[in-house]
Amino acid sequence: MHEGVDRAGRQLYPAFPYDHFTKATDDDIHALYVFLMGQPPVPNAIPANKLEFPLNFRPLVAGWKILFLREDPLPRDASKSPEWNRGRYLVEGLGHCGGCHTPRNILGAEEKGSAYSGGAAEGWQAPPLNSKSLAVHEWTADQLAEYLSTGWSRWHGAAAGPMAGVVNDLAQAQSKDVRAMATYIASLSPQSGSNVAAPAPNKQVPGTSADVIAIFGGACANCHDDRNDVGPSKTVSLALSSAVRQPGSANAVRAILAGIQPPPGAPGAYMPAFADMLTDHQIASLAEYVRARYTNEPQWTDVSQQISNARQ
Amino acid sequence: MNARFSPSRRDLLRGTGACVVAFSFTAPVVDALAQDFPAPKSVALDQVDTFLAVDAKGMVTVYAGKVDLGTGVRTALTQIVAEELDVAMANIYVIQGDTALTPDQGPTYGSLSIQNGGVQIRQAAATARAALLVQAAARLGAAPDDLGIENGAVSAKSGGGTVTYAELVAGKYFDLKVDPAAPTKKPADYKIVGKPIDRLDIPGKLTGEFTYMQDFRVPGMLHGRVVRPPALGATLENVDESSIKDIPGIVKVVRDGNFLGVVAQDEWSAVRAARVIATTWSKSETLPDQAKLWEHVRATKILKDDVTSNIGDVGAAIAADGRKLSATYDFAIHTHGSIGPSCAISEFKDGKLISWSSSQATHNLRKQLAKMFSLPLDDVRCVYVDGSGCYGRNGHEDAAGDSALLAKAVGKPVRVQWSRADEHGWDPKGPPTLIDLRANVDAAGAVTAWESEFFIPQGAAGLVDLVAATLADLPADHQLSPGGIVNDSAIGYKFPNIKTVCHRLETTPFRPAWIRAPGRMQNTFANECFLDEIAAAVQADPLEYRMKHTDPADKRALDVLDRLATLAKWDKRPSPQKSITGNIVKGRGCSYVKYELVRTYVGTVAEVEINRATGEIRVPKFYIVHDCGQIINPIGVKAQIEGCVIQTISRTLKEELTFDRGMVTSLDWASYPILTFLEVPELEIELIDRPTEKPWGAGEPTAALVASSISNAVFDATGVRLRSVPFKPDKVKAALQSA
Amino acid sequence: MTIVINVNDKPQAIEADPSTPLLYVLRNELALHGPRFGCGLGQCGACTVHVDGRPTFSCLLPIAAVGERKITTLEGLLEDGKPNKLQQAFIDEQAAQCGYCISGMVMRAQALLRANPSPTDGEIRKHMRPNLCRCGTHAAILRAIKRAAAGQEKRL
Repeated sequence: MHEGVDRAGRQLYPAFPYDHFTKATDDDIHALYVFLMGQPPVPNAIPANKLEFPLNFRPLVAGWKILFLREDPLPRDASKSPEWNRGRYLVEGLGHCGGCHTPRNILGAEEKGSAYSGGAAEGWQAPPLNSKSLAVHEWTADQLAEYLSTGWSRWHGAAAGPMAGVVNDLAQAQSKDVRAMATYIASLSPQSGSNVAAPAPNKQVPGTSADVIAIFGGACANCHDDRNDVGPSKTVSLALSSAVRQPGSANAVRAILAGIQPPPGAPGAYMPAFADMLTDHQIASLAEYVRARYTNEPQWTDVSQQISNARQ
Repeated sequence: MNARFSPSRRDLLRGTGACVVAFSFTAPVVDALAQDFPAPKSVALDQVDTFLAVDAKGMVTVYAGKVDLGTGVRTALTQIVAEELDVAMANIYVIQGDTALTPDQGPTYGSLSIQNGGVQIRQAAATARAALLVQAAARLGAAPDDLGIENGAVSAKSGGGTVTYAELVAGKYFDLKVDPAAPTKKPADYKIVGKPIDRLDIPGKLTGEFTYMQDFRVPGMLHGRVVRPPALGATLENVDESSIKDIPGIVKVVRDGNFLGVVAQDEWSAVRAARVIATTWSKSETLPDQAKLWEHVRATKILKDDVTSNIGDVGAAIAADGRKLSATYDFAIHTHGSIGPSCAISEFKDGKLISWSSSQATHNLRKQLAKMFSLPLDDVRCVYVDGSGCYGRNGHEDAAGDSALLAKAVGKPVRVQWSRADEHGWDPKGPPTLIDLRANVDAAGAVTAWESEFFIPQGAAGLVDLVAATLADLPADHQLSPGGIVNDSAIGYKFPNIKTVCHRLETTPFRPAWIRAPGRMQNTFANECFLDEIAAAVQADPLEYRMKHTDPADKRALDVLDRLATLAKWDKRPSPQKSITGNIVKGRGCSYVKYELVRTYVGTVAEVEINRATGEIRVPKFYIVHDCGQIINPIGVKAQIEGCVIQTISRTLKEELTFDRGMVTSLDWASYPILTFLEVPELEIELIDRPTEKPWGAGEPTAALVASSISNAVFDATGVRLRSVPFKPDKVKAALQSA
Repeated sequence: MTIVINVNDKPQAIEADPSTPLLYVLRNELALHGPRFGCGLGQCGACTVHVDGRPTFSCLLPIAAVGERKITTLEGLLEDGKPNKLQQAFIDEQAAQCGYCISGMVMRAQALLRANPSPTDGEIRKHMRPNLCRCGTHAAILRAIKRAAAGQEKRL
C-alpha cells in the first residue's frame, strides 16, 4: 500500500493507485487488512498480464516511482479545521479521487500542478473539481456532502458511470467522513458564490430537424421537462448537468446509452437506458441538440466517436 | 371486449302472479358493459334471481357482487356454481360488480369473497337446483331422488327421458327465496370444487385478448388527464391555457376549485398538456417532518380507546413480581403501488351517470358519485372492469370521480388514466402504526400478563373521500376509513391476563385506506415479534413456546404448528443461534396466527442471511403451512399465498413512503423500490384442505406473518431485534452497531 | 403526419404526432393491448415490446424514432392465433395473478430464451430484473420460464 510492491517484493503497476494509498496511516492499513482477511475466501486464478513490451517489464516501474511516487505522509495543515484535514487525508489517500479527477501525463502519472483539473475513468470524463469546474452552480460543501452520500444533488444532477459506484460505496462510510471529504473538495474551487449564466429555458435551436424535436418530445421530455424544479425520477434541468457541460460528449452519450440506476436497493435518481431504443444516429443528434439547447458552450465534435466507444 | 358469450338484449316481460313451483317472469339478458341502464332486476340478497339466471340455451349467468381482482375469484365462483348445479364450467358466465345487475355482497376485501360471497352464491345455486329437480320430477313423472343431473340435463336414473335446465327455465325468473336449508353437495361428491381448475382469465392475459379497464373503450370517448396540486392543501391560483396552445386536439381545460384536468381527442395530447400546462399554486405545508413521524403519531390527539381484549386483571398482574419486558414497534406508511395506474371512464347521458372502473366496491362508489353530483342513486350505475391488482382501496375510485367530473364538463364520455405520479402520490395510504407492548414473565418462563397499546387512526372500513370531490369541494362523506385496523390487536395465546387497547387517533398524515391485511399485518408484526422476544428471554424454542400457549382444544392450530416444524425442518433450540461470526450470518424465525382470531390458520418460517457489514437482508427461503378450511381451488390459494409472501417481503425490507412538509416525494418506482426478481425467495407451501369445514379466506392471512418471521429470523442470526418496518440496510446496521 | 411502422410483421400507416411514444400508438391506433401503460418512465417494463428482437420499453420510444426496425408485441408471438411455447408455459403454470405485468414479462423472457435456450435460475432472474410485478407472481413466472426452456409437457 505504501511502496507499491507485492508480497514477493515485485513492482506493482500504478493502476493500483499506491501513489495515493501511500498516504494512508499504518493503523488504517492494518484495519483494512483485518477486514479483508475476515471475508470468506474465494478461488480465483489471477489472469496473466497483457501489457506489451516494454511495459510488461516490471522493473521499469521502479523508474516510474522515482519520478512520481512520494511516500512522505501528509503533514497537518494547522491553518485549516480538523474536518478539512481529515477530508484531505481521505481524499488524497484511500479515496484517491485524483486518480480520476486529475489529468495524466504521457507516463501515466498525475500531472503535477494540474491536480483536480479533470481526468478520465473507464471511458467517462471525471470533471474538474478545482477552479476549472464547469458547473453552473459552484459546488458547496453541503452539496458535495449530499451528492457523495446519496448520489444526487438538486443543483448538479445524479452520479453516473464509475462515480455511481464510488457513491454507492461511500454510503457505507461514516457520514462525518463523507462530510470531511466534501469540505476538502469544496475548498479546491474558489467559493466565490458566483454562478455561470445558463441559457434560458426553452431556448430555440434553429436548424434542429423535426425528427429530433419529436424524439426529444417523446423519449426525453417526460422527465427532462423544464417546467419542474425537480422532474420525475429526480431529474434536474439539463442546463445544470455536468455531463452536458463537459468539453467532450462521453458522459452525456454514456448516460443516454446506459441510463442511470438508483443505489442498489435504495431510492434514488433513475434514467432509462436508451441503447436498444434509439439508433446511434438518433443518439448523436439528441446529444448535439441537448448541448446546443442547454449550454452556451461550443458544440461537441466527438459524439459519433464516443458512441462507438461506448457501444464496444 | 372479451365476453365468452354476448347475450342480446331482450325486453322484460312481466307475467302476473307467481306459481310457487313454476318459474315466472322472463329475466332480461343484458349486455353487461353496454352504455345504458337496464331494466331493474332483483338485487335483494335473499332471492335466487339476484345471483343466478338460466337462459333458453342453458347458459347460466352468475351475478356476483364480489369481483375478481386478479385473485381467481371469478373462476372459483364458477366452480362453486358448476358443482352445485352440475353444469359444465364452459356454460357459466360471471357478471361482476355492476350495480345495475349484481347484488351488494359487500366490498371485495377482507378475504371474504369465497367465505361470504361464494357461500351466498352456493346456497342460491343449491336452492335453484332443488327447485329444478322438483320441476324436472313433475315433467318426467319421476321421483326427485331418482333423478341425476349431467351438465344441466336432468334424467331419471331408472330411465325414461331427459329435460334440460334450458327447457325448464327458458330465461324466466326463478322467483324463489334462497333456502338456507337447501342441501348443498357433499364434499365427498365434489368433482370441481377443490380441484386445481385452470383460471378462466389467464389464457386471455397471455394472448393479449383480455380486456382490462385500461383497454376498455367507449364509442365517442375523449382522453382526460388530471393535474394535481404540488402539495396537499395547495390552492389553484392561476392556469395559463395559452401554455398548451401548440398541442393539437385539446378539447377543454376543466377547472373546478382546486381540481384541474385536461381533455383531448387523443391520449398523447392529454399527457403532454397535463405535463406542460402552466399553473400557479399556493404554498402549503400540512405534513409532519418525516424524520419525526413517530413523535408526531404519539402526540396525536386520541379520540377514544377501543379495548379489543381484557382478560383477567392486567393492572395488577403487570405490576406484580416477575421479569418485565417492554418494546415499541413501528410500521411505516405504505402505498398500494398498483402496477397499472388507476383508470376509469365515465359518461353522463340524459343526466344519468355510468362509470366504469376497477373499484373493488362499486356499490359504495355509486353512493359516493351520487352524492358528489347530487343525483338519485338510481341514476348512477357503476360497472366493474378488471384492473391491475389493487390490494385494497387504491386510486380506482378516485379515477372514477375524476372521469365523472370531466365527463360532466365536456358532455362526452371521458377516459381518465392516472399517471405513475398520480398513483404513487394520490392514492390513499396505509397509515403509520405505533405499538407499545409490555409483559410480565414468571420464574417458570410463563407469561403472567400481556399488555399492548396501538396508536392508530380512528375509523373502520367505509367510504374514502374521492380526490375530485375534495379538490372541487363537492359533497362527500368526510369519513376517515383506514379499514378494520383493530383486528389482530388481540392475541390468541392463552395467557391469564391480557389487555389490548387501540388508541384511535383523530388524524393521520395522509388520506388513509386499507392495504392488504390492514392493521392485521402491523399488529401481528408486533405481537409475533414480542412473543418471540419473550421466548428468547426465557430461552425457549420459539415454535414450541407458541404451541405451549395455544389453546389445546384448538386441534387445527396445533396441526398447523406441527406441520410447520416438519416442513421447515425446524431446528428446535432457543434463539439466537450460537455462532454469530463472520460477515454473513444466517438464521430462522417463525410466526403464527389464527387470522382475526376466528378464521384462517397460518404458520410461517423465514430463513434469512444478513450481511453485517452492509445491513442487507436476504430471504432465500420461506415456508408456509395454511389451513383455510375447504379449498375451492388449490392453485388459486397457492397463488395468493405466494403473492402474500413476496409482496410483503417487499414491504418489510424496502418500502416506505417518503414525504416533505407538503407532499409525497416517492412518486415513482425509483424512489419507492419494490422487490425484484433477484430477491425473490424459494417458497415451500403446505396446504391443508378440510373439505367438510367452512371455506375461509386466503388473500391476506399469510401476509400478516411475513414481517415477524423475518424479524425473528434476523434476531436468530444476529441477536439483534428489528422493531421498525421497513428493515432497510441503514436501520439494520444501526441496530447491529448499537447492540 | 403519417409514419409507417412495421408491427408484428405488418406495415402500419399511423396518423399521429411523431413524438407519440410507440406504446400509445400500439394500444390506441392499432388496438394491440399486450403492451401496457405502467409508468411511462421506463421503470416497470409493463410496456415491453421487441424492437428487432430486443426487449425495449415502448413507453419512451417515439414513433419518429422507429424507422424500419421491426416491432413485435405479445400478439405477435402467437403462432396461428395460438399461444407459443412460452405463452403456453405461462398458462400451464398459471403464472399470473392480476396479469397486468405479464405481457412485459413474456416479451422479456422470450428474448432471453431465443438467445439462451437453457438459462440458469440466476441468469433468468438477472435478465428479468427490469420488469416489476406487484402481486408477487415472480416465483410462478420463474417456473413458467423454466418450463418453457425445458420443453416439458403440460402439467399433470
